[in-house]
Amino acid sequence: MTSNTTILRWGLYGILILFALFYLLPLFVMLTTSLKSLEEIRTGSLLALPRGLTFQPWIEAWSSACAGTQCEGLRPFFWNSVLMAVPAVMISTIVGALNGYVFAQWRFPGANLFFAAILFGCFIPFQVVLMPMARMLGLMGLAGTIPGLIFVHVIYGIGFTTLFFRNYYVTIPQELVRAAKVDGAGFFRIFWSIFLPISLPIITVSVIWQFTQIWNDFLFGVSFSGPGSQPVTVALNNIVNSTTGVKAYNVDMAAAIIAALPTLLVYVVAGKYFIRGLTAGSVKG
Amino acid sequence: MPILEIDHLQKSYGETHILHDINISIEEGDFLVLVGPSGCGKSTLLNCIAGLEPITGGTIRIADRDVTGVSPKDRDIAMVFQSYALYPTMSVAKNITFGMQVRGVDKATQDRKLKEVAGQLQIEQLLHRKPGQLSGGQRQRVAMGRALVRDPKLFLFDEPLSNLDAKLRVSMRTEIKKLHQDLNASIVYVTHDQIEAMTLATKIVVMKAGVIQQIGTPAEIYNRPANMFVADFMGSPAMNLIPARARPQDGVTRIEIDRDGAEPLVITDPVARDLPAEIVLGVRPEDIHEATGQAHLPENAQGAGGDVMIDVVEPAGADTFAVTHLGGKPVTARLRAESAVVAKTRFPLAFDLSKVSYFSPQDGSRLN
Repeated sequence: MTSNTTILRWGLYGILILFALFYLLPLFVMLTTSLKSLEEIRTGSLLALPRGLTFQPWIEAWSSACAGTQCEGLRPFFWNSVLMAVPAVMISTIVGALNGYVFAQWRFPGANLFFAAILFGCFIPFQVVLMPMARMLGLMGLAGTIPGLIFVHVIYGIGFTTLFFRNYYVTIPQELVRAAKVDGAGFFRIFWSIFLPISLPIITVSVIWQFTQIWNDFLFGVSFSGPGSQPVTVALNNIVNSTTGVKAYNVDMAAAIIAALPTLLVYVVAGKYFIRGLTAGSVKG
Repeated sequence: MPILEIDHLQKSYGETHILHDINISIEEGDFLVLVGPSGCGKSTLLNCIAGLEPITGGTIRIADRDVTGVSPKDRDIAMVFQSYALYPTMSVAKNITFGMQVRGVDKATQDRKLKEVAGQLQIEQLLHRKPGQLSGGQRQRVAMGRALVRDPKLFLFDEPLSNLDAKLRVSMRTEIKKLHQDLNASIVYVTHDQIEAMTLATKIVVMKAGVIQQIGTPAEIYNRPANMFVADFMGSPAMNLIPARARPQDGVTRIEIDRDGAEPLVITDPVARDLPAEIVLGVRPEDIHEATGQAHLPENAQGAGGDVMIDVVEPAGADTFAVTHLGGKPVTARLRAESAVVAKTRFPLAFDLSKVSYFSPQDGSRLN
């Protein structure tokens, strides 16, 4: 019995370690390659540790690699992504919170239909909206601008954020709203004083989800951005594709890591709240 | 001047009628209890009074002011909820003062009232805690504090004790009653617990399926229930409802009750009554007495005219309950604790006919 469970346990560990290696190997290769010189990459093995550490590829990727004809590295595009993602995440989270609050606590005629429509929005493939969205942005005069990208991401994110907040707020007893109404608080006062303070877990979920989606998005970025508003994902693609002569794998790898760093950071900082927010929800008391 | 006046109130959701023609009027200082089984519309009625549910027809007046279309905050009411509905992120003090803060009451007044109410409810030491750190009874007190601090014309309580354990419920019940007496507050209180209704109320409204069955003092409701539903709902153990036949005879009324394997039990009501042939005799367990020699019978108690077969004996400390069956129904008698009654034997019982009710078996309405 005991030896049986021990064998099973070790088997389990073995499988888990195998999977972990499978997932970690690409990251390992990326990291080591980004720290090698081109010479070493050409001659050495893919899996070997770098013999002489060099940070030159990182510096190049950040400030001088060529994306198309522009040779300023990822830096300007990184800031484009920040300028796009931060407002888009904030706006879609705030609107989602308000929507969720209405759907969960202020039932109105046709609420189910509205909610179904918003949910449906979560499942529309990106490609379907490309043409109509391009036309919309053109009409609004936002084509090829960062505000245009913010607009697209807010619209696309509201379905998810509304769903998050609605499902969170629906667990909060209606009596809380009734008590506040008797106390004299109105729609926004109740939202601000009672609902927002208990929303930290779900705000975290919404922020992580939205930030990951928006930062990592390539299709909207490549479709709706102009020369001055390309996000980092598009720039990364351009850097990788526009090398002439020898392919600078080390610079490509460094650029890829730089582009992925913010989402990684968000998970490390707020990851435990993410899990907590997804699983918890009810508020006792 | 009535503090609350409900006139021909109707409430429906689409085609579904929740409340039918509700008419209630209470005076200042009244403790009105709305009681009935779950789904009878009592909580909906309370929410209508609070203004949390719109009504379909009729009017509601609070302190002689028509508040029918007025929002909850302007009705001069305070409400205590079943789940207490404390704001989870606010401290107890914040919970209590939130309403005043919203209404823009100045800080000094807020502090003074908070202190007053905290003292009254003995929750001074809890003011800095969050609701999550309180026990059920403490949360209940805070919820009451939130209502008290408003000093409203009318208090509304929605099953405030149903989430407490049995022992705490009894002590909180006493406390609410004391509070009512001390403040001379006007209260509307919803419960499904008929004992709570009896102990607290100055006036009871018994409801069923959105219709008021009876309005009266606890004594009226208990002693003269308007129909078989009220008779059955109020009182524990419930009133015995025994199918019987009535025969008027020389200025008295003979009541015949079928018994298993024996002649019908015949008892004589000394009053000539105008009753139909088929009736239901309603008698409370405590109005059935032991008819043995040594038992003391009240003056009007009429002998059951014979012994009845006792099925079960349930000693309950202060009383002993003896269950027999008459007219095809189990009948419970509340006897003295030291009664010599034994199960599976015949035992003499007597009904106190001055306290019985007669009902129509067709529509359940009261006949006497």
